[in-house]
Amino acid sequence: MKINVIRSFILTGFLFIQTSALHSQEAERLQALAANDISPTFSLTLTSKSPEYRAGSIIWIKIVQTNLTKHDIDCTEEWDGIDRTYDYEATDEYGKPAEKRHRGNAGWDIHSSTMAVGEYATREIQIERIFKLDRPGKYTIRVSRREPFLKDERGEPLVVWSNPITITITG
Amino acid sequence: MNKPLGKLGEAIVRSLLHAATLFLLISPTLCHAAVKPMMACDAANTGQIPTITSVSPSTLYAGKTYNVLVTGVFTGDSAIPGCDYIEFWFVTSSSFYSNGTGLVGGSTDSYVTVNNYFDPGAYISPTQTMISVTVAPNAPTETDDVIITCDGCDYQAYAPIQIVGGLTITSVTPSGWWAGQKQNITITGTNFLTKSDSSGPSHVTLTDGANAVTLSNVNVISSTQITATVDIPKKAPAETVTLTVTNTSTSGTPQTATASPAPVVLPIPVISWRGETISGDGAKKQTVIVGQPVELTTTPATLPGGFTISKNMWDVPGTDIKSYNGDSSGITINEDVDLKDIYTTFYWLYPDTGLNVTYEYCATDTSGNQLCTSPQATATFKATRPNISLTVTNPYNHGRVNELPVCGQHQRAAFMFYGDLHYLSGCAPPYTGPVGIDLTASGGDNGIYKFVQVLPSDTLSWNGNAPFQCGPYVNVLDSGFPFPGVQPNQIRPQKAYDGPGQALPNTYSSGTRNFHALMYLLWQPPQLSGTSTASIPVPIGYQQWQFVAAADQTAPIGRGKWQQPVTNAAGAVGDFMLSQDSDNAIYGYPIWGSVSGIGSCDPVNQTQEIEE
Repeated sequence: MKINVIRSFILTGFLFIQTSALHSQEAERLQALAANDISPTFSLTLTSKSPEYRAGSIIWIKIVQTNLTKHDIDCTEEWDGIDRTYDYEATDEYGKPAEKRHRGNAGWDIHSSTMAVGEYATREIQIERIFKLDRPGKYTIRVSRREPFLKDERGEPLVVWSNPITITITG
Repeated sequence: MNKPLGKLGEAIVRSLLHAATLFLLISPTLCHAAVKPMMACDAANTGQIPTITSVSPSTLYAGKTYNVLVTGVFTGDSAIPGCDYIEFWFVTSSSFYSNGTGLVGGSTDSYVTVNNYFDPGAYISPTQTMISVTVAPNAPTETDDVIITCDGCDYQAYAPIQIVGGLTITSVTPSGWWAGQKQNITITGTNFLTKSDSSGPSHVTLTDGANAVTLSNVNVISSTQITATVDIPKKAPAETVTLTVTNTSTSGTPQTATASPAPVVLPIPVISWRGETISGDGAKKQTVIVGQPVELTTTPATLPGGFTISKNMWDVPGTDIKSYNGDSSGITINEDVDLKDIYTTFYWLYPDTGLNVTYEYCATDTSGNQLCTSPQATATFKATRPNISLTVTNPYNHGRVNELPVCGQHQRAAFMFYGDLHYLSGCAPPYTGPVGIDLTASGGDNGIYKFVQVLPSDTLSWNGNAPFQCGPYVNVLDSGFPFPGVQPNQIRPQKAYDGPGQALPNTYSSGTRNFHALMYLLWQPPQLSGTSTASIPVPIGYQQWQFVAAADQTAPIGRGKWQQPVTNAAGAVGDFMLSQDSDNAIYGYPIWGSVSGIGSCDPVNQTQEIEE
């Protein structure tokens, strides 16, 4: 036990020095590895501007990513009209996945960003750019974002899911 | 002639008396005669000439009822040859007459009513008769006479009786008196006594609860008009004032009249902010940070005496708005600051050293007359803002071609980026090269920065056998609102990065991106203590920058081997420009048409969905 305590102390000191010197994402990765902790580093909260939209209208959803750690984490955006750092899921009231729109691959802008302890970042996304939500009905929407450095017990990248929201599309 | 006349007989008598009265009225020679022969009648011979020795009281006040005791010699009509009956008259306008000794007749003075008309009970003795009269409240001051005369005969006796007119106040103008100044007022009414009147002039008194009003220069101009000056200190409260005019009398009780409705002291309005008075003498200049709410209230809220506040008028100089709302769909502001209430809340957007906010109100009296504030209330503000700037600390002036790995959502492909890749989701280890541009805000770290990037134009094009183009996207919001990179409450160097990229499909010989950006910097000051209203972001300025680059594929085309791009222009264009309230319709806040959506464009399949 004594050895472990000393090791932890040394490791913590090492990490402190590294954090101040390295890029924040690298520091985040090192911290995650050192802690061997697969608890999510952030949470996602999803809301809709309105619970109901007319078919064909712009449907705004807001994603709030909140830092759950005691260190900086990444919240970079890869933008091409939506934020590609997120995965988006929409199902109709029967559980059937909504039809996705074809998205091109013309290019994107990298908007690098980090957020500090206790902070949050918001994204407002036009979800109709991703799914064809032109049929009246109720749709359940979730978004997810991969943990950049954490893997689950099976070695797969850890994915953080948002709460589901339901929106109604009217004719 | 002590017999009932009946109604017809009374009417005849009255007609006769009225005729006689008219005669007397138009006969000035009779006005002051004690005894005057009127027509042939042998009373002198009989020694039965009627006389009046006294009338008591001899002064009658308007609005009151009197028993007038008339003493004299009231001979019976039969005692005077030729007399039908004896009359009691008032010369000029009033008359009493007697149907028989001591019997009271009527009055032709429209302001005097005889109450014991033909009442036998008026008779007291052969030498005394009691006449009950009521003088109307609005009776004028005049001299009437009690007359004894012989109808059908030519003798009469009379005694003067003074009618002191009814004292009334019909109006006081102005009806409201502003605190903090001297004002001339006019009192209009009836029966004011001037200096020339024996008991004149009338006196004016004012009484107010705060004992604040001072009266001076009282001048009775006429029986219907008095002028005076009222002086009211600045701090006088809203209150009604009792204004009384008094007519003194050497005999009888003084008459008084009180103005109704009562004049009202209209206080100088007072502007308050965060519980403190900030207008008036000694008020200090207030300091507020742009974007912080200015919640002003004013008094009075109500007025006494039936006065109503009919108009509130604020004047707020400078660039101010009522509210702000911003999200990815756009920035909206409400310019319509409520300037017609005793409350107003607004935000200043730009610094200014001398902002005089004024407030005035109008009060309407019970007659519908409107009086507007004089003077106004004024509060002076200084709107400040930290010296905030935006600097481009890493204006890389080159593009790079990178081969993306298969990771996350990314397929292996060539891309042209401004700078190096910084990070790609799902890709480990992260790319840590420099990004295209790094914009750092400073100077306002006690508040919150918000970056908003608008693209005046952005076009991606590919050349080859089948050229294709995405865009131009014109005046679109890049990413969302706010632009990623600066998070709420982040207190440290505030940066926004951007690295525009473009896919380089193997089927094209070259790719070009023509990217022009305006990075706006907004700043939201800290919450103002003592207020629950949140501060709002205000426009600070914008930095123009661009990335215009082209990359060529190495021949033979189709193998995906690309040369490093040729950069025609990259980085900042000019200096950070401070926003101006005249920049656009929303005072320098960024304006965009829609959110950029290059993801709908596919150069591989050469398709482009129409996006909003």
